Parts: sequence; structure tokens; C-alpha cells
Amino acid sequence: MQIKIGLKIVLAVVVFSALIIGLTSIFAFNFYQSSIIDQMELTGQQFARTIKTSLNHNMMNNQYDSVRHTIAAIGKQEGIAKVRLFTVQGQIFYSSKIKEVGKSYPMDSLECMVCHVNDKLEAPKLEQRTKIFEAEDGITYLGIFDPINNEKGCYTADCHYHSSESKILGVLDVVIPLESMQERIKTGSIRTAAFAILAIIILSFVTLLVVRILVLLPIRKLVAATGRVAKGEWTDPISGGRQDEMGDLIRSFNRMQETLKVSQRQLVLSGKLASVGKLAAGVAHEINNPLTGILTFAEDLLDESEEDDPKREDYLVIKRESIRCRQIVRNLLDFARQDKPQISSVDVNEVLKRTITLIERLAQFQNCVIETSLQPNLPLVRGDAGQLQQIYLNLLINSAEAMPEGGKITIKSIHGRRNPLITTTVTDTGIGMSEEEKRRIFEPFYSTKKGKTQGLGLAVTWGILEQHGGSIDVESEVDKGTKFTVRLPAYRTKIRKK
Amino acid sequence: MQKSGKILVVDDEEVVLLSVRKVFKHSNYEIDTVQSPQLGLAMMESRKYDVIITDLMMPGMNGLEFLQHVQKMDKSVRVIMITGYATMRTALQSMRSGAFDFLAKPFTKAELSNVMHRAMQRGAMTDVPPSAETAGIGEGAGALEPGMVYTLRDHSWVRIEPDMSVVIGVEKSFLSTVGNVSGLELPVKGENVSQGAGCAKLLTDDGRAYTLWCPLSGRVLKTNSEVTEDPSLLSSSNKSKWIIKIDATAIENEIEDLLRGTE
Repeated sequence: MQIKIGLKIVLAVVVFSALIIGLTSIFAFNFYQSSIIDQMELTGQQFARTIKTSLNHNMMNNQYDSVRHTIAAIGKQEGIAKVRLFTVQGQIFYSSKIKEVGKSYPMDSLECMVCHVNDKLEAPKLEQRTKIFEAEDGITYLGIFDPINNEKGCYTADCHYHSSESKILGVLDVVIPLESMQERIKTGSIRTAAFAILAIIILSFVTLLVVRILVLLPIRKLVAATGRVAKGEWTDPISGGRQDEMGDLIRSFNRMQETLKVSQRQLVLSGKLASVGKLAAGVAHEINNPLTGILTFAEDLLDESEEDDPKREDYLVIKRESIRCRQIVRNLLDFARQDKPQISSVDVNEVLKRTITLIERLAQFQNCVIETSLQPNLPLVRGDAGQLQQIYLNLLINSAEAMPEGGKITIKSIHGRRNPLITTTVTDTGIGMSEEEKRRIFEPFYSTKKGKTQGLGLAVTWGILEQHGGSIDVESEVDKGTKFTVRLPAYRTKIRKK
Repeated sequence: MQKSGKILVVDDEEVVLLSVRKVFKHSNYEIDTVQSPQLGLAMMESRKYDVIITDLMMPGMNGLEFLQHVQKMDKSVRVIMITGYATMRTALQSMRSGAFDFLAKPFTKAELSNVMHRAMQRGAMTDVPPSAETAGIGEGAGALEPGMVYTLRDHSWVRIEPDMSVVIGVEKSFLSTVGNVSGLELPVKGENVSQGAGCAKLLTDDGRAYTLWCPLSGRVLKTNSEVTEDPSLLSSSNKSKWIIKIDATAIENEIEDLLRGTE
């Protein structure tokens, strides 16, 4: 079962964010909770101290009623459950809850255990003087025990109640309900949980959205496009590539499709050439004999006719066209034969110069200016010099015929250092070619010369270059001119100097 | 004045036989036509022919086999191979085995008639060349050295020059079949010539233009101006004069088609 990438990513994000947010929330919450408790304890201590101080004066003057009154009043305050004063024996001397007065707490009770740890009396620190407990009524309380230390003023008082030997005179016990704190904590935890969940959901959505835009949609486009190409259909180039890896992928795909198109075209062309070759050989062979008959019989008719015979013209036509057929067949066979090339080390510049010498005097070139720019010391090419010459001959003649009124032909040869290819160009200022012509110019039997040739010249050229491991392409603009670029692989050998 | 002679034409296509007859309609030649090599050999048993024209590619027996049978029966007959353009190289190679000349189909009247004329002029072939094996053919390009001479039998010869270029000349036997040469048409410097194609035209007093087959492909470096100015030098001097100097671009491959020889 295919699980979508988007889903996988969201799942991963959800799980990990849940983990992290969850843990963070718990830690934060715990911290919050203990902060509150610490705060409450501090507050409690403040309370106890304040109460102690406010009772001090009355105690000193032995005004028990005032003490009772104060304790009762404080006990009624909001935020205080009760206030009690223990004697060192554990008996409740004063209490805001009247009923408790006189009650005794054994040494091992919770309240006493704060300081009487394991029969030893210790002076615990603040944190230990407080205790949080849950009472029978289900409410959580904070109890603070503050021992009342014996001071000079206490044992020198008129009432002579306390001796100077006592260290502790009694214990103040303040009990604070933690309801509100509990409430706050509960609210807090709900809020935290809610926030965490919301955060996880939002994160997931945002992640999904971002992934969708940056990755999923481009991928879907690519999957669709590559699927089409795999089926053998061409597809429009994909648009919308940004400056990132997805953009690069999209651009790569577009480039790849172009390359595929070109390769396929070349393959088709190759295949066409091959079949034309076979066809040509077969047809040519078949045609030889009938042509023999036509030619000789036409010649005979011509020879037998009288000087003034009006039919002479006709016989002449038959003879001439038969000879033309012969030439066509021979061209076809030359093309089809694909003779094993005679390989030698060829200097392309020499070939170019030779070809130029050959054509200079021809009629078509008389009003053409030929300019050369041949890079000296070109590396040699392994190939058939004759065939290479045929290529350039072809190109030059095409150039001349593209500008019957005259023009300029520029021939260049270039080789960059370390470049495996030697580049040669033949540029003319002739009538140029349309897009369609450019596309089809190398096809066998395609000609722009309207029936004057069989359209094999460039197809032969293409075939020759393919065999040599080179290539040819064309740039052209109507009425501006045409440039053919021929590339040949350089042969790694010492450059032959003149 | 027109020589008489007996010709046998062998080709499986009737139209070709008719064409040959048409070409020689007004000649004094006696022409027999057959459509199979076996029939041809049968004909040879009862008649002596001067020239046999045969197709190279025939069902059953090909032209080369036929050539060997013919030579066994009659060493003196001149055999002209006709063939489609695609198999020209094979035809050229047949000259090594003793064929007199070859011609590509379709041929013009002039082409066939000139070859026939030469064949008749030649007279009896007295020296049948040794078979390919003993001629030292195919020794390999490594054996090429200046001074070596090879021939395209009865047409042209080549000699390797000290600078490894190749000069082409006309075989004496060719000259003897064409008569007085009054004009010479040669390719120009820079032109390419191909083995088996024409590389020179010899114009004679009787208005014919004989095509000389090129023995090796290459690029023309120079032509012999001495001879172009006075073509009669070709026939008159004892030592054969070269007519074209080429840079033979495919010599390693093509040299096997020629016979080792002397000028």
C-alpha cells in the first residue's frame, strides 16, 4: 500500500512535535506548579511571622484575651483556614477554632514530626516547616509551623510565665487552604494541554501546507510529466520552477525531454537513412537494366532520324533524361554504399583549403567573397579525407546557391585547448531557411532547391559525420543567412607542422 | 573499314541484349545473344568469338566464374564485363583475372562502341595474366616502395614516386587499341579522382573519346603539361609518359585490385 509522502511527513511532524511539545509542557507545567507552591509557602511564612509579631506585644503584656481575639480574627480571614498556638507539649493553647483548644497532639503526629524527627529535635529549614496535606474534607491545605523562640523580653516579663531555660515557648501553626491554587493549577494544566494540542495541530497544518507547495505539487507535476514521456508522448515543459532543488529538478526534466527529442529525431533520421540506403541499393540495381534499354533505344531513334525530323527534339529529351536518371541512380548508390572510409590522419585546414581551391573558379562562386579564418596548428582528425572534402564541398555549393546575387562566405576553423572537438563553420549571407526547413534539412530527399537536386547532399554529410563521430547543425535566419557548424573529434597525436 | 568480328552477349535481361544489338545495328559485327552463361559456353563450343560481353551478376553462375570457364575454352577472346554501378569495383577487380575492360549499365552508345572498338583493335589476347595468387596481389600496403609499378590491365599503370605520390600513365596496350591520340582531357589540380571512374579522356583522330579508368583514388597534384601540349608524345616515345600525378588517398586498400607489373 502506498503511503503518501505528505502523510508520512505530517505523521513524523505530529509524533515528534507531540513528543517535544508534550515534554516541554510537562516540564513547564511542573515548574509553574512548584513555583506557585513555593510562593504559597513564602506567603504562609510571611503570614506566620506577621501573626507572631502582632501577637508578640499582647503576649508580652500577658493579655490573653487580646491574643485570643486576634487569633480568632485572623482565623476568619480569607485565605486562612485556621491559626493555632501549640505548647511545647503538643497541646493547643490558642486556636481560631475554639473547639480545638485543649486538644493534645501526640509526638508522632504529622504536625509534631515537622521538628521532632526520630526523637531528635531539629530546627528545620523553611521548606521543611511547611507541609501540604489533604484533610478529610478533600481540600488541600498548606500548614506552616513557626516555633516561637524564647527571648529576653519573654522570660523577664512580669507574669513570669516562661523560664529562661526554655528555648522554644510554643509553636504557631497557620493553615492555609490551597483551593485557589488548586484551581489555578487545574486551569493552568488545561490551558497548557490545550495550547500543546493546538500547537501540534497548527504545526502539522503549516508543515503539510509548506510541503505541499514546495514539494508535493512540483512532484505531482513531475510524476505526471515523466509518466507521459515514459508512455512515449511528449509533454509541455513544466513551468514554475523556483530557485531551489525542486526547481533544478524541474529544469533538469525539461532539458532531459529536449535531449530525448533530439536523440529520437536523430535515431529516426538514422533509421531513415539506413532504410533509404537499402531501398536505394535495391531500386538502383533493378533500374539499371530497364534504363539501359531506354537509353540505347532513345539514342538509336535519334541516330536514325532525319536532320529535319521534328521528332528529333523528343528523342533528345528521352536520351538526356535517361542519362540524368543514370546520374541520379549513381548518386543514390554512392549514398547507399557507405563505403568503408579510407582512414588516415587528416588536417581539416588542408581539406578546407583544398575545397576552396576546387570551387573558386566555378561559375556559382564568381560573385561571392570567400573569407577564411583558420586556426593554425589544429590537431589532426582520423577520418576519410575524401569524405570530409565532400562535406565541405557540399556546404560551400549550398552557400553559393543560396546567394545567386552574390554575397560573402566565411569559413572558420576553431579548436579550444583540451576540447575534444574541432569546430568548423561555413557561414553565408544568403536567403536563409525557415524553421521547418532547418528542422528537415538533413532528411534524405528533402531539398530546398525545388527539384534541382535529390536532396541527398546533406543527408550524406550527416551520415559521413555520424561515422566519424562528429556532428553537424545549422543556424539560419530568413534573408540573413545560414551557418553550418561541423564538429569533428580531434585525434590525440602530435600536431603535424608544415 | 568497319572491322568485322564475332560478338557473344550474355545477360539474363532481354532488354540488355536488345540494347547491345541496337548499338551495333549498323556495324559489321556478327552478334549472338544468350540469356544464360551455360548457353553462352555451349555457343562457344561451336563458334569462335572475338569479344564476349557478359553481365557480372547473373543467377546461377556469376561473371567471374564465367570468365574463368571462357578462358579455359579460349584464351584469346576479349571479355568485357558489364555491370550495375554498385558492383563496379568487382568489375574492376575482374580485370586482374583477365577481363579486357568493364562498363557500367546503363551505358551510352558511345561508351559501348568505344570499348568494343578497342577490343576489336586489340586482337587476340596472347598473354593471359597469371591468377591472382601468383601475381603477388595483396602483399599488403607495407610492401609499397618507390619505384613499384602496378597496372590496371590494358588501361593504366601507376608508379610510386620517391615522395610517395603516385603517377598514372596509359598502358601501351590501351594506346595501341585507340590509335592516334590528338587530344587529352585531364582533371585539374585539386580535383579528386576515384578508382574505377574515368580519369582521362583520350581524343582520337576518328572523333572518338576514349575513357581511361583511374587505377587508384586520390587528389590530383599535377598533370604532365608536356603531354597535354603534345599528346602524340604518348604514343611516340618508347618509355611511357605519365599523365597525372596524384596523392593516392586509399592506396593501402585499393592496391590489391591492381596487378604488379612493369611500365
